[in-house]
Amino acid sequence: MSALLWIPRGAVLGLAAFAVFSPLANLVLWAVAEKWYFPHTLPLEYGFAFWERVFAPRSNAMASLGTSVTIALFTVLACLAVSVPAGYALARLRLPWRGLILLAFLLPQAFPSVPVYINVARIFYAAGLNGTIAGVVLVHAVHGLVFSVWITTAAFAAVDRSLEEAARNIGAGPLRAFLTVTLPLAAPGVLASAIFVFLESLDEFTGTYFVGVPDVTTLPLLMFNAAMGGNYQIASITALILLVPSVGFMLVIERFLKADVLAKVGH
Amino acid sequence: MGGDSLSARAVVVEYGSVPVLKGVSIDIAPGEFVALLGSSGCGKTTLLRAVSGFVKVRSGSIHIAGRDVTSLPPERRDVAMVFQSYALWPHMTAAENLAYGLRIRKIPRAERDRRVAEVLEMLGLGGLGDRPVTQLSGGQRQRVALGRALAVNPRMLLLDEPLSNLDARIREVVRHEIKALQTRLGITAVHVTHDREEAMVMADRIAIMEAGGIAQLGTPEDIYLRPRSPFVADFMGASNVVPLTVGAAGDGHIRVEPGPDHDAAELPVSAGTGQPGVHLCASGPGTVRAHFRSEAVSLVPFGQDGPGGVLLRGRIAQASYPGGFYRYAVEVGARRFLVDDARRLSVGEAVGVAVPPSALHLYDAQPS
Repeated sequence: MSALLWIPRGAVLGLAAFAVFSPLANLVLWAVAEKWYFPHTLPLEYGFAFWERVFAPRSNAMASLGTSVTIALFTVLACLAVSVPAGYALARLRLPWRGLILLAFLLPQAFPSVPVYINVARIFYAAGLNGTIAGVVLVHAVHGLVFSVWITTAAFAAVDRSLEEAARNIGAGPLRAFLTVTLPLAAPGVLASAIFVFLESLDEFTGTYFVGVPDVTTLPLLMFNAAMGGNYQIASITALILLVPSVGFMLVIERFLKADVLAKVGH
Repeated sequence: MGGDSLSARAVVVEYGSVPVLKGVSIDIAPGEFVALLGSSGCGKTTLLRAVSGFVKVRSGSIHIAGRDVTSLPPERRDVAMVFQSYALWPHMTAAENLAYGLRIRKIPRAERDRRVAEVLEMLGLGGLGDRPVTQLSGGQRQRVALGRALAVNPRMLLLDEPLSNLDARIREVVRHEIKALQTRLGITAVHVTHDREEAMVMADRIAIMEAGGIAQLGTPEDIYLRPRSPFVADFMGASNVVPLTVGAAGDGHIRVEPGPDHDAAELPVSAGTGQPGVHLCASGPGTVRAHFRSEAVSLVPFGQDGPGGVLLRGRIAQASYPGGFYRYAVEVGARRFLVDDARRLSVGEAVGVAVPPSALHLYDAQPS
């Protein structure tokens, strides 16, 4: 009886593997397909001609990759500029409405994004921010602040207050104690939040679409356009490019986000 | 080197609307070692944190070496604190922890290195300077914490239960080391502890704290032999209580009226610390609360006379052997006392508890 248990187990695992890996396999196949049309199950010709086109120095893909990374870096800077002081304040000071403030950063996530972004686009249009990098950075930053503020707050809360007091006691002013003791000890958490924000920005589509188009083309937008135009090869290759930093950084984050920081998220 | 004086005047600290310190005043002389002793919640740590500047003083003032520091931030008070948790910076080595204060004081590198090596040597940490503090044992961390405070040549040392995280055995040794170091360097030290013996051994003077105030301030001997209130008596181990009725007998004596469990007695009154006789804190004749220590009394066989003092008649309710002597719970009337005695007695036996005059502390009976 128990000897036959491997059959349902195998079937469940197989289904799960299929659900996870078949779209990826499809993606990889499309990325290396030269010719593939209905009713053929597999591509008719394989090759890297489309890769050459994507990685050509003057290609749209490389330009939009540059745009994507630029936007992501500025978004990280904008988020850190808010979340480092805000996280410290939320973790250390006895603020009234602390819970509400933390919740406020969640709000952008709570509403359906399309109507929000349409309204943002309308306001940005009036402010002349539509179609600019700055506009897209702002939209991404609002989105990224959730991770950034929540994780940074947890990172600062995980630093024992007496460590800071010891620095003050021995003669360090508040800023010096922060820079030499609190910040270095919270750095792994702050870095993890920065990576989250970077990845979120890199992958963001909706906001960029409403605020950036047609002047700002990020990698996800390029992928969307390629897929809409039936150019699945270009779409698949860009998707794979986007996958690289995501997987890589996730492995890094896993090392940085320690249990003591995670335990303080939202507290 | 030497130390600074400390003077706190009517210091009030509140957390929210809860008063933690209710007007504490204390004067500490340069080079003196004072222990703040009390159970948790009495305000001893808060007083230390008020001196170091980590809690806001609602009213009153704190002067260090004659300088008003009441409203100064912690970094400008020039006091060195050793934290209960040690609060060593885990991202630095032992030597970097020690050098931090010197770096802030802009001591040149060569001088700094020399001073760090000197402190490491002084605390028996030679060769451990390059270790991250996370790789040190509890005792070593404690020394680094002390070293970090001493490295800046402080004139006042604040110790916040620095020994409470150590093994009992190491604690004994470190007690004497800290005291010897403090005496040698001549630094003023304020030491917070809930350990009575620790305070007795280390301090020149002890402040017993109770509910946000100082219940008594005096030398260890003074506090042990002449506790000023039932609370202090209780805290210092004189926790057996018996009500007595006393009257004046004149010429440095008092008369204990006979009661249901004891006969009349005439007892000498102690004239001061170290003088034999009853420690009399009650204001006048009448019913008083008598406190005495278990170890200061002895058992006598029933019917026999004691060595003088008050003889309480009772019977043994419980017996145990903690080692070296027997410990008996003796029932006198409705009360039970713990009494240590070398003889082996059985439960139920009638005995007399002989309380010598010098073991008795008499206080006004409180309405209870």
